[in-house]
Parts: sequence; structure tokens; C-alpha cells
Amino acid sequence: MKTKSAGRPGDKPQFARSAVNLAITVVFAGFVLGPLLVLALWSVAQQWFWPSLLPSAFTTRWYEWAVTVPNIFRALRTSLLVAVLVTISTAVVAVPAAVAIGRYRFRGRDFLRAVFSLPLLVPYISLGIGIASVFYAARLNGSLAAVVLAHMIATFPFGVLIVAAAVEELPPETDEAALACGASPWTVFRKIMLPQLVPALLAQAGYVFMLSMDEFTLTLLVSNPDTATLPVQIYSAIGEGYLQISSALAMLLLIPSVLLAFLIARHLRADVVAAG
Amino acid sequence: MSEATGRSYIATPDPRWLAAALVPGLAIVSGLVIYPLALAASYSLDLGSGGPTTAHYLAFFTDPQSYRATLRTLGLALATTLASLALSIPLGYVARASGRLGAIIRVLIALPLAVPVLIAGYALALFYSENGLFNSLLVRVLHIAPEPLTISYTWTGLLVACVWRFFPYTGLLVVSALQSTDRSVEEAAASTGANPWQTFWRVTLPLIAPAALTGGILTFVSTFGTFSLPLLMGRSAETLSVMAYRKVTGSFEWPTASTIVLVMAVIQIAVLVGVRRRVLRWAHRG
Repeated sequence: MKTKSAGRPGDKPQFARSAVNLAITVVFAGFVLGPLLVLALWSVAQQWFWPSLLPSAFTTRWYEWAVTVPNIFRALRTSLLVAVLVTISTAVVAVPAAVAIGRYRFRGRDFLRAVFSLPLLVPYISLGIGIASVFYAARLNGSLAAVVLAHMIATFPFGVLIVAAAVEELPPETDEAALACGASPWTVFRKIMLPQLVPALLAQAGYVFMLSMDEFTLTLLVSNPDTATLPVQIYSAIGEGYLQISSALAMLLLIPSVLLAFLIARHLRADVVAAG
Repeated sequence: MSEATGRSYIATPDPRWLAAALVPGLAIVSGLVIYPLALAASYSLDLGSGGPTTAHYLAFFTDPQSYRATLRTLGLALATTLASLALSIPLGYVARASGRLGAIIRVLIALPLAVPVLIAGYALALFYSENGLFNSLLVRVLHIAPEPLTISYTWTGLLVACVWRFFPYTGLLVVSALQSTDRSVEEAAASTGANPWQTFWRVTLPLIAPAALTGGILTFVSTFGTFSLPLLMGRSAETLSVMAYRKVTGSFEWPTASTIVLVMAVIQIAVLVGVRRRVLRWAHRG
């Protein structure tokens, strides 16, 4: 890149400016990474007393304890089961809706797009209190179905928006030609769209899976001890005050979330995901 | 984009296909969003038990506790948004001055988005606790403060946590807007005698304003509605979301909790629909 401004009067020397840039980056890195580093250190700290900067001894004991706590194992199993069910049901409901609003022209399409985004307009606590009242009235609260349905509130709009954005990118001419030759929209979807949509569908499934694994607010309101997911169980471990075990548990949820996020990040459009 | 060309959408041959594709999604939104909010509304008006009454809303708007929680929550959202905007501009300038630092900064900005909010709250509470790493850096290494600062579990701690987790919405948009601004316009301003401050204020800021405002609104709304962060970080600073949760779990006051969360929903929708439109019109003005 050309640095045209280098010779302008009043400019600071180049090295001073790079030093400032580096300093800003380092401070920002500390701000972002510091809390995660502390969590990682606590999860392996044998002892860590004020005012020492780092733990004085390390151990892997907390991870061994964390995975042997019976509730944790059940919570992990519940989380995985719920996330798989949520990923499948979200895809089944959201993909047809996404294809319809992403491809076909009809009256009320923009209105429907807004309706499908509705869960993103309202705070989760509002939706959580609302859905918990419904489940209490229906005697569903605490069931696995309640947890799955509650998660779908959070995942459905992203399912629709991610796939609809991908559908809009596909050239419409082939679809139109196939329809003109008498193919049904189902055939068009299966034979023409589906092969091109595979990356978007995988990214959508990955994102939905991650949202479900990480979901806390809605789950806290609609689960009971038998259907508590990993985040809910971690929250109660934090409440019990065992710092190292809570940190180890938090790391067990954090590491897969970050890895999955970076795996699918390239396939997600920032503007779609940020729509929340 | 394909939407602009108008060639992306085609007519459907048979409306029955459309109905089949759309009805399940509509059922999900109606059953899991619209109906629950309607039920909450009926609870808040006591429709099932002798109402309608506005008693719960009157109580909400006259109770000093909920008044303070409302101000605290709105203030938190506003402060987080302003802090995020202030943070994003120097980062954007660094990112555009150096490609290598820019790549690092973009990854660092995006990273908190991948961290579950609950975990973020816990990690930040540990980092900023009175005998945590931040305070030992401040007191023992850098000698900036004589004794540890109380940050975790206060409103300030909550503010730091919200900036950490919800800054990315503002940061990603502002940094990429700054990187894609036309440098020749700024150079033209500089060559005609504008000082760097004038160039920023008159030329650069209007160029990045739409991105800053869109991102700022996302940060504002995320902070306003957050529940996990104040639950873990805001022990002495209860927000509306935590207040509603405590009403339900502590004393089973569903009508009161429903009232709180509906007021929250109305405020958030007003911000998203009303402010966004007005603010974007301001940003795009002549």
C-alpha cells in the first residue's frame, strides 16, 4: 500500500505511529483475551492466591472431577440430544420457508420475512417468561419437548435468514426454466437448489447446533433438574461456588463453541448473523 | 446484490406449494412467540382472574424499585453503545493502517461472539474480581492503583461485561466501514487545509455513520435485553430482565413478571423500528 501521507507536515514519524498502533492492539488483545485466559488458568490451578500473577501449581484434577459429577454427564447427554433434535426440526421447518421467501415472488413476502424474524425483535427474557407460562398451563414445563421447542424460538429465525440469503444468491434462470417445463417446486428444490445449497445448509445446521448448545435464558425457565442442559448445570455449579470445577466445566462448553464458530464463520454472512 | 436486479425472485406456479412451505414456520412463530406474548399480556392485565385491570402497569410505573431498574437498564444499554462506538473508531484506524494488525484485530473483535454469554459473564466476573488478574496487574505490576478496584458485581462491572460481549456488533461493522472508505476523499480534505480532526469530523464520520448506527443499535438492543450477564455480574445492579426472573422464581408473581417483560419488549421494538428508521434517515441526509 502506498503511504502518500508520509511527507505531510505535522505528521508524526512513521515508527511512533506504528508503536501507537501496536499498543492499541495489545491493550485490546488483553481486554478480549484476559477473561478467557483467567478462566483457562482457574480450570487447571492447584492453588492461586492473591497477589501472585499466575497460579503457583497446576493440576488436571478439576477436569477429572468435572466429568465424573453424575449431573454433568446427564446434562451433557441432554444438551447433545436437544441440540440434535433442534437442528433437525429447525431445518425441517425453516428450509422450506427460506426457499419460499428467498425464491418466489408473492404478495406478503416482506411481511412474512418480518414475521419469521419476530423472535429477534423481542428480548429473550420476554419470550422465556411467555413460553414458560404457556408450558405451565399445558403441563409441559420441564419436559424434553418444552426444551426443544424453547430452543426453536432462538434458532428458527437464523435458520430462515441464513438459508434465504443463500437462496437469493442462486441464479433463478434454471429454476424458472425447469418450472416452465412442468417440474414441481419440490423437484426444482431437490434437483437444482439442494446440490448448490449444501454449504449454506451445513453452515445453518452448525450455527443452529451451536445456538442450542449455548442456550441458557430460555432453558433456565422451561427445564427441570431432569432436563437441565449443560449451561443450566454450569450455572448451578457456579452458584455452589466451586471455582475450579466451574471453570473446568465452562471450558468444556467454551472450547467446542469457539472451534465450531470458527469452522462455520467463513460460510456465514455477518449481516445475517448480526440481525439479532 | 441480486435483490437489486430484481432477477432473484420468480413467480410460483401453484400457491399450494407456497402454503405447504410456509405454514409450518408460521405455526412455530404463532405458537412459540405470538401466543406466549399474548398470554403474558393477558396475565399482566389479570384477564383470567377478574380483570382487565391496569393495576400491574400502574404498580410498575410508580414503584421506585422498577423505576430505578428501568433507568439502570436503559443507562447500561446506552453506556455500552457509546463505549463500543468509542472503542471501534481507534481500532478501525489501526486496522486500516496495518494489514497485519488489522487481521488480528478482526479476529479479536469476532471472538467474544463465539463465547456463550453465560461463560462470558463468569469469565469476566473472575477476571475483574477484587483479587483477580486485572487487579493484580493494576496494583502489583503496573502500580496504577494503590489498592484493588471493586468492579465485578457492580454496575461498572456489568458495563465492562456488556462491552466485552456485545461490542462485536458495533466493532465489526465500523472497522470494515473504515477499511472500505475512500481514502482519496480524506486526502482531498487534508490537501485543502483541513486538520486531521476536521477531516475525521466532517469527512470520515459521515461516511461510517450508517455502519456505526446500525451496529450501535444491535449493541444497544443486545445489552438492553441481556439476562445471563446481569444474572452473573450484576449482583448489586439488578436489570429489568433479572428483576422479572426473580419475580417468577422467588415469589411466583407471574402477572408482575409478565408486565416487566412486556414493557421491555415494547421498549426494544420501539428502538428497533422507530429509532433505527429515524437515525438511518439522519445518516443518509443530503
